[in-house]
Amino acid sequence: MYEGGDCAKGTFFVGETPAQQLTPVIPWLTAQHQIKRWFLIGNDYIWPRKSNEVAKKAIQGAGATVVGEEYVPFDVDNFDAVLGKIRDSKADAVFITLVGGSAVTFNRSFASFGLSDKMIRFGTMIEENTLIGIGASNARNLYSASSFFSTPTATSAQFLERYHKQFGASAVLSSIGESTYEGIRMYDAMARKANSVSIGDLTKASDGASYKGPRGVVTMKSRNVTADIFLAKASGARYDIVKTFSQLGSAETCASGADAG
Amino acid sequence: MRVDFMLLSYFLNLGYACAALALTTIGLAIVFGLLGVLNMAHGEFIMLGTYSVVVVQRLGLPALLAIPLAIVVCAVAGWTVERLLVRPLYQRPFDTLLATWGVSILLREGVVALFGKGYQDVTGADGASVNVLGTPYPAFRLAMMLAVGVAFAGLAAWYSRSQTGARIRGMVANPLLARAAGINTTRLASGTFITGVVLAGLAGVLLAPIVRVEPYMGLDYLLNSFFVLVVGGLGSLLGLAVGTFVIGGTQVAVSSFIDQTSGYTTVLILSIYFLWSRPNGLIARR
Repeated sequence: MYEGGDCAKGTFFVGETPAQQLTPVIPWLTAQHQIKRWFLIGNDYIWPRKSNEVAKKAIQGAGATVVGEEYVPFDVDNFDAVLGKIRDSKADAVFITLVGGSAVTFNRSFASFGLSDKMIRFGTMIEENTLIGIGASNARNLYSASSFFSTPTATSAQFLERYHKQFGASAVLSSIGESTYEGIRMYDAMARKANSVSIGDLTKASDGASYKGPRGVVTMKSRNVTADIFLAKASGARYDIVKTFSQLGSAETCASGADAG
Repeated sequence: MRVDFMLLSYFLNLGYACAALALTTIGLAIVFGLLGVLNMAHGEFIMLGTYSVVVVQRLGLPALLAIPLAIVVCAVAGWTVERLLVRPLYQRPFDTLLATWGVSILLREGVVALFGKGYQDVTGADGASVNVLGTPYPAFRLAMMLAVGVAFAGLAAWYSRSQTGARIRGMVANPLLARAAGINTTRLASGTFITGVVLAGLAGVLLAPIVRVEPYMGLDYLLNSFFVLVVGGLGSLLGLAVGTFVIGGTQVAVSSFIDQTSGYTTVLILSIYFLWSRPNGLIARR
């Protein structure tokens, strides 16, 4: 996943954009849990800020309000202050764009302050590794959206089986690691369609390059992908997929086709 | 009523921030403050403590066994590092800095090799919360604050009243004279170093259920501990306490009223100011 808005020459993105992860998911969650008040918390860099721009539009569109927005530096290990603000804001839901260790510490503290039964949590970077760090007992009412979870689907079951046969049953696979496999698959699909590996030819042929992989059908458009997005709910140290949003576009507009290259 | 509620949670947050800071700084305060060794592997010794809990938990043993395990692991590591690296380098601060930085890399990558890079889930009592005058607060943190308070009071009493405390103060004030007076400063320094390392490990054990546990976690603790000592001053528990309250208090106050980026920035500016114009800190060694 990435924040979008990059069209550097010769770059093709297989990661999810905030538009894909948020635009249909936030209204669905808002309706499902009758959410009136959202609080936004993220690390202080471009991806959380761009994600929150998209999230705020989706929240307002769904008839809810944003009651707080805060960004913290990467190495913050004490979230007491912001947890106090979240509690006092009487939010019904928290949208989390903290990454890695920040997400782990935040979510552990969140649960220890007794907040996990009062409001839902939704994150777009809380993959399986992070979830293990958060711990099963601290992950109640925690949702995550991504094009890949290590929960078997019709298209990923076989791939997961092969992966665990090769690297062992305990090897944790999440969307971050799995995306590199998607990158190779997409490169393969594009190179076959272009019948060339030069950047110019790949760019011209990229629109419509498609394959069916672990994430399902993935199609290149405007140098970003159209793909399924899964909304999953944490269940112990793994995710249960609760809703599939089919074939969402990236909302990116990079030049491609005959006029580019 | 509303104000009381906010004030209470503010003071609890302040109390926890200070307890955690004091806990993670005491090891460095001893090694850096008394021996003059800026131990760059300080955070990694805290990390070893947290992984002691991980090991005990994986083996399905009672959580309390992590305490003796951490003491043994850190004592052996501390003795080895002091004997082989630090002892030949006393009075050469820059070289000890480089040598202990090497140790920190070794420990980080060693843990990566043994446990992998991923986050570890330490299940503890951190999930349970109790009501403190109507506001839910994690019970584990209350216990931790109490334990830190008691331990520091005990340490202060021991250091000011015991024979060993007096010998250490003698060694720190004038190593040559202490030697002439029959104090085995080589052994005393080794013991002091090991004590600092073991206390860092015990801090890790206590914090493991609350913080993120991964091989690179130590770096943040090293920085914050260093800031506390820069502001508070080296060589006394009073300096440690003052530094803890200034750094922890600033962080909590600014974070609560503005945001955490501002809190962190303020701490940085404060530390730079002290390094620049008050390098001895608020409580200078007497």
